[in-house]
Amino acid sequence: MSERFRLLLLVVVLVYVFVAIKLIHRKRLSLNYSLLWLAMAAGMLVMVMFPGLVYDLTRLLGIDLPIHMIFTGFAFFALVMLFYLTCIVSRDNEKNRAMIQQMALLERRVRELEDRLAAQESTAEQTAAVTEKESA
Amino acid sequence: MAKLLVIIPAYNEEAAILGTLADLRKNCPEADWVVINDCSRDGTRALLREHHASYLDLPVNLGIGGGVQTGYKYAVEHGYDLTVQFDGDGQHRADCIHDLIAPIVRGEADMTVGSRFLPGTEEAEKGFQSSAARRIGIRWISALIRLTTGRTIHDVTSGFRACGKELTAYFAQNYAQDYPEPEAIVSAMYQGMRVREVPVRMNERQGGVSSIRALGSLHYMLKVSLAILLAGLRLTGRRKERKA
Repeated sequence: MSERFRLLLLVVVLVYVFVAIKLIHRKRLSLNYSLLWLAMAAGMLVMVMFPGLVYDLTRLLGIDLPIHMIFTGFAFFALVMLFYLTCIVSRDNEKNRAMIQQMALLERRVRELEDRLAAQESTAEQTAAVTEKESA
Repeated sequence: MAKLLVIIPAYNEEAAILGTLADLRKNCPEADWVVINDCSRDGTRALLREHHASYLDLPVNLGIGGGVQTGYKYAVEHGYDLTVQFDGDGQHRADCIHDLIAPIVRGEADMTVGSRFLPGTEEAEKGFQSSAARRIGIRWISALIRLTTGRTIHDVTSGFRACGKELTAYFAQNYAQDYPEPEAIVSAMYQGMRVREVPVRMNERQGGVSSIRALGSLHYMLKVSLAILLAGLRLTGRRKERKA
């Protein structure tokens, strides 16, 4: 890895971390879901700072070229991220459904109360009209 | 007298829903009922409102599973002893409800499924209004249920079914989604519930579109098959948790 490429990678990773932290601060990205992304940034930082590790790891895993190891690593990370996101979507679906169902149940209770109130008001008006007529 | 709630899932059923309610009023007057309007895009909701019908209005379309489950939640909230699921399209007959709930009332079953093709019934002999793909689909699911639970249910996709109090409470919390009919039967069995089939007559649909028109499609078959196979695994997992 050339010095120039290392420097470029370092800048990219630092900008990425900066943006991520900024978004977490503004609550546009919840910390809970960004842990995996931050972990990836940490991994990249380590690789940029100690490029020797990349070669060691490549040999350790029995892969021919470091670039293959890096591509495989990224593909694996992307799959994990997708799987994780699908889990989140599924859980949110469940929560959404429960909420929609509860809304329907509550809507009915509100509707019944409103109808009963309307009925009460109309009878109250009627009795008021009757007593008015009697007193007149 | 057991308190009975008829749950009527309805999606775009303005053509048939009033007929269904009239049938219930006439032939099963002792039952309470609630229509689940699953965010219909036609005039179903306005019609229900206008006729002061008992209904629940889902603000977002949930599909048949989520809709029926809302009915079970309503039943639990109001302490019903028995629930019957009854299509809004006029396909099911209110005069069959008594036969359907009888085994549960007698304490012989926890769930009953109204079946069009039990051996010996009229429909079984003439091959009830279904395409070859549908029949093969139903046979396959039925065989899969027999394989995993050892019990035979013929009309696995029938949406005409009744549940006792305990199972109603279970379904209010856990109910299959997307294409729920066969999966619900299996999950009830895995809960140790006694599921029984009862022969019933059914009408031709009076309107609307079947929620399981996809029966016979590859997606339906894959989803339902997988759900049946996974239901066993999931529940054995949960049972272990409970023991621990």
